[in-house]
Amino acid sequence: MNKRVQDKWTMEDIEAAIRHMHQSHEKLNHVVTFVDPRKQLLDVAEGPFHQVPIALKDNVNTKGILTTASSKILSDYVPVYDATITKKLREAGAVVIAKTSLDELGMGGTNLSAATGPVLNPYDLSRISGGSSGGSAVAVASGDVPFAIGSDTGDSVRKPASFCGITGTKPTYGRISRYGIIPYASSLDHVAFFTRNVKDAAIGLGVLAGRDDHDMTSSFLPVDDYENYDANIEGKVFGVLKSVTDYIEDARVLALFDQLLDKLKAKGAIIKEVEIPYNLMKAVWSTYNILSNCEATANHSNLDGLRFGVGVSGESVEEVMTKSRTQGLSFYIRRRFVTGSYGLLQENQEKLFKKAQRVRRLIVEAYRQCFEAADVVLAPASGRIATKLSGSDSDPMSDESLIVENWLVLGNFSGYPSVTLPMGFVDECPIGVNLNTLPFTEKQLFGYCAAVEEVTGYADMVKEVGKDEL
Amino acid sequence: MNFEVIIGIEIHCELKTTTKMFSGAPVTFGQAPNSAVNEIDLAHPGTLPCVNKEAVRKALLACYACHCEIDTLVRFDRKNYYYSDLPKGYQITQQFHPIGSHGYITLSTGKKVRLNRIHMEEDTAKQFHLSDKTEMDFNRAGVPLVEIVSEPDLRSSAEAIDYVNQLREILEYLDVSDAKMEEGSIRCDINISLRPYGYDGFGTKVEIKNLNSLANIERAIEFESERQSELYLRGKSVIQETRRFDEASRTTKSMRTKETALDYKYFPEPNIFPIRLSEKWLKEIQDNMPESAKAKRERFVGLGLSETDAAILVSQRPLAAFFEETIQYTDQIKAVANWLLVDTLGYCNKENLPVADLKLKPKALADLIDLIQNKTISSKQAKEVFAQLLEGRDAGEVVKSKGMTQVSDAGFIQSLIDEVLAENPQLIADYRAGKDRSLGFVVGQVMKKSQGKANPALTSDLAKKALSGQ
Amino acid sequence: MKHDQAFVIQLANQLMFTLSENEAREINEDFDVLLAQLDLLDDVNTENVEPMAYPFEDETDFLREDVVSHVITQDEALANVKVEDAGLIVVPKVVK
Repeated sequence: MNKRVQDKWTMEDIEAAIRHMHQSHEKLNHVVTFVDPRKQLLDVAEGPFHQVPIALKDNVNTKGILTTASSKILSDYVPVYDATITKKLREAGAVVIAKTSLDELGMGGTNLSAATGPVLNPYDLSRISGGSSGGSAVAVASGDVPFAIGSDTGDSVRKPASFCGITGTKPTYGRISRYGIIPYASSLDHVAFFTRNVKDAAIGLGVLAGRDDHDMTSSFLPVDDYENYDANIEGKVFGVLKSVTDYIEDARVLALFDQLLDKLKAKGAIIKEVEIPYNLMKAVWSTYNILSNCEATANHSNLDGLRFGVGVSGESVEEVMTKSRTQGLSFYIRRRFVTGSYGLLQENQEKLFKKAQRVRRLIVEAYRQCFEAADVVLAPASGRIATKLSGSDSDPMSDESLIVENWLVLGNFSGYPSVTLPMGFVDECPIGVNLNTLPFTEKQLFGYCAAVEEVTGYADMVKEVGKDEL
Repeated sequence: MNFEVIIGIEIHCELKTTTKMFSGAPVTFGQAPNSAVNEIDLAHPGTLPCVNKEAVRKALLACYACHCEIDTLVRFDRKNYYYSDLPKGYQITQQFHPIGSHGYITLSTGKKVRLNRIHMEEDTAKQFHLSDKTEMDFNRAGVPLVEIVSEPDLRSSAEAIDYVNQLREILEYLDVSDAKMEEGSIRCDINISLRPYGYDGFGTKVEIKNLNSLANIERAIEFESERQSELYLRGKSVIQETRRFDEASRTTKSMRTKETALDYKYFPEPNIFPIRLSEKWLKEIQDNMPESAKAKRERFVGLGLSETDAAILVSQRPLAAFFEETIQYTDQIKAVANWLLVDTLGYCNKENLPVADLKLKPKALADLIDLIQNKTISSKQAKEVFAQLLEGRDAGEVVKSKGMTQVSDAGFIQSLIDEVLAENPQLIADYRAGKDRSLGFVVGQVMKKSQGKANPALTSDLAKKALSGQ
Repeated sequence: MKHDQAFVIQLANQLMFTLSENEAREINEDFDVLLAQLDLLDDVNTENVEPMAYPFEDETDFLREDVVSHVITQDEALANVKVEDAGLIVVPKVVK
């Protein structure tokens, strides 16, 4: 199904979407919970999402509907409240048909760590979807739904968007309320989402954006009329982030990017290079690793099996907490918590956590300076297509691994808006380009993205995997 | 050898607000367990804190009253530890930037005790430890607290108690807190160390947690200084540790030593951006500071009350408030004080009734006092009426229903006197011949004729004049 | 910065979970990698640079009005709780 948010949707379409999703799930394993929509259908609001079936990442709280964050410890957690965005989407007419798989608690980039197992890439079932919002990415890419919510702490929407050939939008920090999103690292967490075209993304942001008093970090700035973006890029400066492109190893990826730049130039764009010092780019991953794990270990201290979630019985309350956390959190998560806790120890905090916070400031400052020379900063979202489920054999300490595969984190450190959209194919698998602008300029950013979409022609791509097609 | 006792006090004080520190759930007492909560207080996944304006205002009042410097940029931090009564696994507090610092409190002796800081934080859940299980009520979780930390300036248990009393009075009069130790709205931790007289340094300090009454503060300090003194005298050293006061044995018992002390891994709370307090609001708060107890006492003395009476009235805020309301209705200020201090407090003590729970109405008491003053009723009758006012009735209504209204109409009384004299013409001669009982006879006859309603004092005056022929 | 297997286990226990021998060994080895990555941070001179705790440092002045805005029912509060008794959440005895 390649119907768009902006199209007119009927009740029959919703039923078809649910059937479609069941079929693709059999191949892709991207759904945690299929939501029975009957209750919602009794009261579908008029609005930009009227009768549009959507999916929510399973870290978005849905009142009365199982919300697991793909973690065993929350495998029986039924929220008593809705996330702010759940309410907003319902008020815009959307119908939630599924809760989708993620890396456990959103902590990962492969979607291999979900409690319900790996999510597969519709373009190549032997490859990963990317994560942590892999389930939602795949739901949009495979044509189940035209819109799915994800969350993006490092690149958790923008990387899977690249791997799945769709649009992944992470707006400015504070633009969308985080209330009700099971967190990863609060100062880096963003609500983000997938669509198959830029126009749908603009419609989506219009619904999701806005001040929410439940989230003290949400912005008071007025919400723009995002749909009225201007795709004319004549005279606009596109700043190529040389600090990324210099370290891309695959010439085919670079070639796709160069072709894109040529086409943009033909449209009147001015192409320039912008740069961030090498030592800062090399430090991006370590900075992220420390900050995210430190915040995460505190954020998830509430998972103790006492008030909600899977509580393992024990002789004492301490034993209940310890057993619940040991059995309910995978080793992968416990390892990250130990790392985070190590970074927060009083004796280490100056050298680790605070050091990383200081480096973050310098990185953000260098990143900001790129926008003094450019209206939009861009580079390939990744140096590679989705890796194989069996893993990658690349050197984790290489420049490509450290810089190219992690540069999207700049958008989380800075909070600046950032969108990934398809740029082309390598080995028949999609790869994306990522565009960024200054805070709260999403409308302009959508304009640049629309120009990219126009020149690539990669709008509304669907990769069907259902029984009918196979 | 004698030692000087060095004491510092940390006081946790529950703020009197309608809602919690970080959630819009109500602050209540005695409500059904777990019914004054929302998902934030239970730390359900995805919840975020939102700072209560009134809690900040009350903290500011406390800061101003204690002469603190104010940090106008309000920031919060996380204090990380696992305990079943702490739902998030961290407490949101103000470790790095307390709202107030460098204040002082003046003891009744005039000695100034320096305050290190006043900071805001949140309360924990209430736990009931039974023999085989623990039961938890989260109604108290998230109730706003201020922690008030003194410098080690106190030198005896008497000073410590004086300090707590002074602080309690300040907090009560600001309406910042109920400030009731017995109800747990104030809890004390005491730091105590010894040093030889004349020595400038400090000995090893021991912290005694959670003292819930003045008596226990005194006992704990006495016991602990004795314990430490004995250790020193036996050539042993005091270990830096946290102890608790055991009420049954009236001794302190070790909880944890410095070696096993927790590392709270404090770091700035990422979900609350720094909040700038406006100069305008701060000025408004300062300009509207409630009158302090000290100022009130002085004002009452200015109204003509004795120091002792003023002190007793102010010792209980509801009593002072009752007094102030009553004197709105009558100018018999001393009479009001008397009725309150003797009859009203006497009744409260006998019935074990808090002044705040009195049914007696200030207006009713004022009316009663005026009725006595204008001789409508006698003081003997007044006692009878007062008993009814304690049931919540109005003075006028009681007097009327009992038919107590005295006749003070001089013309009417004179006519009765004339009647008596006409019936007994020899009375005038007798009186003039020095027979005093003539006067008593006339008054008695008038009372009889008026069925006891004639104002006796007035009758006597008029009769005297009539008999003496003036 | 010190670390060994016992220390890793101690850290984990403070976080209220346990680790198997193998898990503790693996994490301990991880720390070597972590510390190597730290060298990358040390390549950045952060003298006189303040830690950045939030993406934006615009001060706000918003404070929530002290009005009851949201309460859930006792049933909802206990909906995800395993054992309850007369509205209280029941857990095994607290030892500490």
